[in-house]
Amino acid sequence: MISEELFRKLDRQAQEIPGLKHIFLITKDIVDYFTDIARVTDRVEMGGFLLGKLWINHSIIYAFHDYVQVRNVSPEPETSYTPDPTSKREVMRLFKEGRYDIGAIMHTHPDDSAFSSPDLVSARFAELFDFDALNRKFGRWLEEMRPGRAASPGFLVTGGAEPTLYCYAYNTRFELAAVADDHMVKRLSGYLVSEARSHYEVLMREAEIVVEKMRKMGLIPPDLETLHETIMDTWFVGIPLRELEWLLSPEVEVKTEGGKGREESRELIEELKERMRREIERRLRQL
Amino acid sequence: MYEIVCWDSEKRDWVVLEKVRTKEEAKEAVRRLKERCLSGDVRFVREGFRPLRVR
Repeated sequence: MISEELFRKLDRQAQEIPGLKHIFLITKDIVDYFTDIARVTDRVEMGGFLLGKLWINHSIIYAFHDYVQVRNVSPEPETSYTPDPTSKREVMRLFKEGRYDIGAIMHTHPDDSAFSSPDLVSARFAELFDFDALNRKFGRWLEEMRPGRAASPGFLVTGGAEPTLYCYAYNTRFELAAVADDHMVKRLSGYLVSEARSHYEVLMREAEIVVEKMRKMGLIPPDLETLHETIMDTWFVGIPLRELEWLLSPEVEVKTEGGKGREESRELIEELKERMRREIERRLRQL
Repeated sequence: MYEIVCWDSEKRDWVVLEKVRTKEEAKEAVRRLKERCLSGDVRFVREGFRPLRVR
């Protein structure tokens, strides 16, 4: 259960970050599901839909609290994920009925590989919501959720040596928030072009090959321009699942004086880890 | 087929150390090859795929 108070707090904090309008929130149940599915993914990619509610004020919070696992019907399930269209239709019916407001595609990789360009395209065009149902629910014309305008997040869970959660969205700077009981882990998205230059270059370089491969598989590929545009305007967050679980676990406590201890301590731990990581990187570069 | 890759801090790219057939073999190879990789960052990927280093 996500409290109104938590939504308001996230909304307030988001207002302090210029340009931040979208928050993708996942509950501990979703994180646990990610951990489990990462462990069992072997040979073929698996996946499904995350389902949740919208909360709109200054920010648009996509609160994912439920999931449904969906069969992979890709002709090459070892290297790609295509959700069963029958299941997608059923999920769309749930949006129409107002049982959920919004969905997102999630899928797994059995190894440590990060998102591919088809992963980015499939999230961009997923549009897992019903615009009319949202307008009815919120009682106004939701311009920000108009098809083609709404942020469409995708989630990837890798099951390799370092299981990692990736969240990505086209043309949308966002914050990923994971919540468990009374604490929360947040990550601000980075721009693929600048934050992961080498991965961006690989995706751009291989775009033509990807289009050709999809055609051979009998899939309808995006045109090259759309693919390039999608890669160029991707925002993402990557966080190792072990780190996420650790930060969300109730055992993680650092005693500090004063009342606000717990949350400040977590932020301090994250900052210290970040500094250590940068220092190690710096020293390795000097070697 | 999985490739065991090591992050080369100098080249700022992934270098393939070994190829194995199964995920179990890949996990074992990652443990075994950790010391051969200067950065200590060893992962396994399907052929044609690459990991991403997150901050």
